[in-house]
Amino acid sequence: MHVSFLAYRRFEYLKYSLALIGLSVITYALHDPSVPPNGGTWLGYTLGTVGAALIFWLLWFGVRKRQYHSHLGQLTGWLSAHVYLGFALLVIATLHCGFQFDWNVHTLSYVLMVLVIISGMYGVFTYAYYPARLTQNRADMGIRPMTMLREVADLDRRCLKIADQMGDKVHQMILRSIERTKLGASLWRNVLGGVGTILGDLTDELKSDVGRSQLPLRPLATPIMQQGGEMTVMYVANQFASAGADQVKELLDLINAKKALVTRVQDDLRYHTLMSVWRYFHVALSIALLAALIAHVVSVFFYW
Amino acid sequence: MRCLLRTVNRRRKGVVVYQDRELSGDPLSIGRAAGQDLYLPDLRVALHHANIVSSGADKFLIQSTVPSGIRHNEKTVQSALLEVGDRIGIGNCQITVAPAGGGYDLVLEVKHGTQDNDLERAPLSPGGNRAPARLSLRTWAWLLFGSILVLFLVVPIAGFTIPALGNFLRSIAPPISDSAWDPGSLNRGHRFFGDDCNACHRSAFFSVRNDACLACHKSAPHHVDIQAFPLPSLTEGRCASCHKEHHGAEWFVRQDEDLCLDCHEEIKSVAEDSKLLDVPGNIGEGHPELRATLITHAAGKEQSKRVSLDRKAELKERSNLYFPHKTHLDRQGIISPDGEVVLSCASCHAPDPGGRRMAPIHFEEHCHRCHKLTFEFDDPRREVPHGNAPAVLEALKSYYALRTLEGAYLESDAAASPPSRQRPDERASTMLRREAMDRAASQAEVVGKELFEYRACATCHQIHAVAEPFTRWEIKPVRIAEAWFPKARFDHEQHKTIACKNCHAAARSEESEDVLVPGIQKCETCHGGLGAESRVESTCVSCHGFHVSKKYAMDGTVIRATAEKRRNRRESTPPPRDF
Repeated sequence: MHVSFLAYRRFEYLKYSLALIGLSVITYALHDPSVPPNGGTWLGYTLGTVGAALIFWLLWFGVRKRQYHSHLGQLTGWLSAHVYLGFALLVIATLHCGFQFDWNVHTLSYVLMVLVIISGMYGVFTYAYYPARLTQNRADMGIRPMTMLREVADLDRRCLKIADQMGDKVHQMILRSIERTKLGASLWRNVLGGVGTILGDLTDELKSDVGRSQLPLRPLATPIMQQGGEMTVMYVANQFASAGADQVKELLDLINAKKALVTRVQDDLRYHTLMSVWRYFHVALSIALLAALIAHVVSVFFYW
Repeated sequence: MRCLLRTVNRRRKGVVVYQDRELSGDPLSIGRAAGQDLYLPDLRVALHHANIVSSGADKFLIQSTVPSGIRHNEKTVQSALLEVGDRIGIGNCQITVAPAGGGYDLVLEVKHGTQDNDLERAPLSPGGNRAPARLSLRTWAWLLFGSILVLFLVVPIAGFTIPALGNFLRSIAPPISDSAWDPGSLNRGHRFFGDDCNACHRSAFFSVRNDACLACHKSAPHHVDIQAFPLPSLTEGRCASCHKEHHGAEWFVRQDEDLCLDCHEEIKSVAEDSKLLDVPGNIGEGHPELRATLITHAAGKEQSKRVSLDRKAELKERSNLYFPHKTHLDRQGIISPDGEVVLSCASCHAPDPGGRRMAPIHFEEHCHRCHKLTFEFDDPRREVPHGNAPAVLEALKSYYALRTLEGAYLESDAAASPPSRQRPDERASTMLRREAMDRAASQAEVVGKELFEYRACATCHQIHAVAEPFTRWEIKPVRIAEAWFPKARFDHEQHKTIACKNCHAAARSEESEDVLVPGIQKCETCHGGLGAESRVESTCVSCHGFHVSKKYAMDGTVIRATAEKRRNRRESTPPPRDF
């Protein structure tokens, strides 16, 4: 039976994580240093060492998940530990620094670490929340998004065929509607400049499914189809007078079917994007964190 | 317009076949209907989809005739001016504008897509087959990694290796100099050089050494006489063991009691010859009773002696003065030349200019108003000088000699001033002069004895009378401690909101030998140790100094007071008490 990585071995790593957090907090509370709490007391060094070790181990997850032949624990277990111990790191690092923050490389490391952890927590949320919605959205459509895209293309073709028979004006209208149906438009790219194109590389699954296409980057945008679709429906309805009622009805049915389908495709793409895009920040920032951590540790001992 | 249409067909195995066709006319029509100049057999193309029209010399405009528009360089537009290299998408067809030549005004390359593929792909990639410059996640991540490492590690280290570069970076871009390593702001006193990390951090990967501190603080006194107590913890200790930097403006000295108690809890175990008491704990936690420093006189010289405040029998100040505080603080008032006055502590005791200690008491300023040094009943404005016993007798002699010369009878019971029988121009005979001098001297002695032994001087001072070879009196030297706790950091200024009587039981003190300072218990009513929640948090160094040796400096050298220092010290030391 499938068990979520969160509940792996009855939350075994959650327990370890809470134990680690509890131990750190209690020690910190009992610790009575001769100086204001900071990374330089014995507890500061201890927590710092534990935190740095955790960071290296958490980064190693990126390597471990690619070692498909590794027998060093199940990947689910690794992910479970990665999530819970990553959360514990937030507490350990905060206690390590003794709440001393300033404009320096040390706080830079801390901020990067917090961003990595927050993006990771968001990732956990998406992995817990969206798969169910994704499946629900794809109900009776098969798992592969390609199936849905083929369906859209097929509906387009059938619309155009009927419209062509109904006359050039109707054809032009339907054509306009089809041209305006852009699944995953480049809104994000418009907003974030070049970032949108960078994001394309992240989504391995989508890339393999839809070819080297652009990443669906309109996760939060209303499907454009809706607005254009209403106009098209209005226009087609007006054609009752001049065309055969059967054709008009068939065309309207097709348009409605497509509209519903496009909404589903948009949602599909949106869920996929949300489940993928956090990893972009998570991974890139964690590599940045590694650099900041090295700079932090070396600088501390350089000017001991 | 002469236009060359070059249709590109890809055959199997990658073979490309070109098919050229010449068009002429203006406009050129594009569409799915028969008779269009450029025929595009795709359902997504309208019967008449667009026109190409000339627009000035060698310029051509493509205009859509349908609301769905055309894709011009991946953007859906209604019309666009054609430039060489432009890509026009209509349906599944891709038209590229090629450089004109060969007598043609316009050369267009046309690629027809296959129906199935393009219909499926088109909605997802309206831009067609462009390949934008992508920055992969990996590249981006490593760029971040490299930038952070270079900016915050490599560059600051380079600045350390090449000091000129380091100074330059600090001045123009602190965030990428070693300033970025600064873990917290410096203590107030060190900020003036704080931008230069290397003032203290002189060697890489070594903690700050004492010589960095001693570069400025060479003359800081040591803790003790390190010859008498050559303890490794003192002679080999690091300044930074106690002084911690980068914890903010107010924080500089370790406050924990253990730092002191490590040695002082059982001081004999580290310094056998120490005369200090063991300190089981800080204030409120077993701090021993305070010991007042009294001045004693033994073997012909003054010495100081510390006496615990709880040893009442020994705790007597031999000041050689008579001064009952109780009498002076009588609430009913005491008699003064100006009538009855009620004195308070502040009538005599005022803080010194620094506010820490109380200023010394001066006879002229504090006592003289009531204690007049008059000696002649019928001459109440005449007083003997204060502060010099021989001068008193001389003054009396002079006074009475003058009176004699003026013709007064010096006998105390004689009627005042009978006129002299001598004529004014008659010189007094030798015998008469001697008689007058003898009379003056004897009167001076009578009055002096009265002053020294019964009133005036004797009111306050202990007097020693010497009979031989001639009668004279010596005022015993006044020995009042400047401060009961000369090494303590007690500050009256900080305690000024508390009434004097809360600590000093002066109103009940009848003897001048009473030592009117409170014991540690009184301190403990307000003060508690480190972490005290219901008391003023006070640590060892709140009251005690560390750098208190008078003999050795922190660098181990003997403190030599230069002439200038001696002068400074003289000026800063309050003048001796003047009684």
